[in-house]
Amino acid sequence: MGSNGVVFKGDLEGLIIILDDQLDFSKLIAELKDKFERAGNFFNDDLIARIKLGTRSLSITEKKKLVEVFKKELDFSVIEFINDETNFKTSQQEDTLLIKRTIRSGQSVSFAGNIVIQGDVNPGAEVVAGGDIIVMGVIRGIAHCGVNGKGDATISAFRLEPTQLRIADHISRAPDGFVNSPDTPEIAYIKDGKIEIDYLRK
Amino acid sequence: MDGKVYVVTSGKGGVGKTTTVANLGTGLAKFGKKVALIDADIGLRNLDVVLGLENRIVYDIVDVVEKKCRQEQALIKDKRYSSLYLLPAAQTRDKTAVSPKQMGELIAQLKKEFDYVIIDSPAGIEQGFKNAIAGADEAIVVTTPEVSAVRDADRIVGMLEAEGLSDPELIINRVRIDMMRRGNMMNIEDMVEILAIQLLGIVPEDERIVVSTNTGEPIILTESAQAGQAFWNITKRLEGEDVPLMSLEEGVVDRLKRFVGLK
Repeated sequence: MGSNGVVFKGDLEGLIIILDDQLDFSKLIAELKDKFERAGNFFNDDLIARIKLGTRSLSITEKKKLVEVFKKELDFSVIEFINDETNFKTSQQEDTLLIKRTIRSGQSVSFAGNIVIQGDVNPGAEVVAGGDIIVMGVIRGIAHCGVNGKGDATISAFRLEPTQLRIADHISRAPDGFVNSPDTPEIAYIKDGKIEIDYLRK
Repeated sequence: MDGKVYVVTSGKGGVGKTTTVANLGTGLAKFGKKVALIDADIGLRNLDVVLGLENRIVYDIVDVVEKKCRQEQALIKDKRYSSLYLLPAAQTRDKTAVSPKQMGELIAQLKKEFDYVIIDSPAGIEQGFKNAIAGADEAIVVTTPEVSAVRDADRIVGMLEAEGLSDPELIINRVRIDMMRRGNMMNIEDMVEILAIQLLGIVPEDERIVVSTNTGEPIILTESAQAGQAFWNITKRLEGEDVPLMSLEEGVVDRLKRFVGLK
């Protein structure tokens, strides 16, 4: 076996495929195909594969290509792509920023792509995104999505109790008095020139 | 004619500066005056919350100073009185975002259009305080009947004098007459003697203040509340009316009791 871009490993849960993160993507695909061919019917079980990408960040089309290779060559199901935790290479496509903490009063997060927050956005805090905002917690502060005019951007949260919602150049504020939001995830978007809020899943 | 510019300050935190500003502003607006309230506590703003206006903030004082918006865009109209406006502080910035010079220019502009401009100063004696007093013509010092608060108030009075605000007036807040009577709290006379400035008013401790702060409805609108009454009296004094201090004094019976040694 050639000692380069593609390494196969296995554990109890299935197959791990480690792809070198420095190698050109098309070369990787070629090498992967080659290895599958040479392996013949070695991988004839219905295997589950996890793919380690290192610091490489794949675009959607690249991911599709990879999955295609697996489908074509064997009956694999790719269950996950694994990246190293830090130092993502920036891809040309819209990025997403993941924040694993609560944004407190006076703190402000802004990012050109999407923002996902694993935590709450407290009153007095501000989240500003070029794309969508997803809060896996409660929004009580200000959320502004589509800040550069992207009118189809949305804001969703486990609980939507914001001081203000801003989508592109639209603003809506919380009603005065006690806010009683439903205990279910909601999503805000622009419809007919107005910000509307609906259940995330009906 | 230009309006009057007051700064409400204290040195110590938690003595009721923001509550005072919200109530006096509302009171003066109720009087029919055109009032602008300015939150100078950049980074720890509260006045918007106490007035129940937080959800209306789009632009703030830093945006005005940095010319990201016009002054009128940042002024938020109160939901109760149409002649009352709030210029909110920025929350995601700090005190260095505005300089005393910029503050002075901003206030000079505002006082042309308003009868009263009231500035809510942050606690402390650092730049936030210096910004807050920059454009003020007169100062109101708030304190509570505690040695620490009075000590800080004294420090502030000295600093105000050094900055040319030589006749500050005093509001003593959170007064508990029962404790004063028992001698467990500094009494009014002692405080006035130490600080040696004009007493503008005394506001009794009132648990309804907590409710009013949390709901964003200034207590001055609750006529039955003693604290509301006290703020109303202060408002009238600012307007030049001669209103006697509220009778928080002990009654005749109490005095008699003490005289015969029962207390």
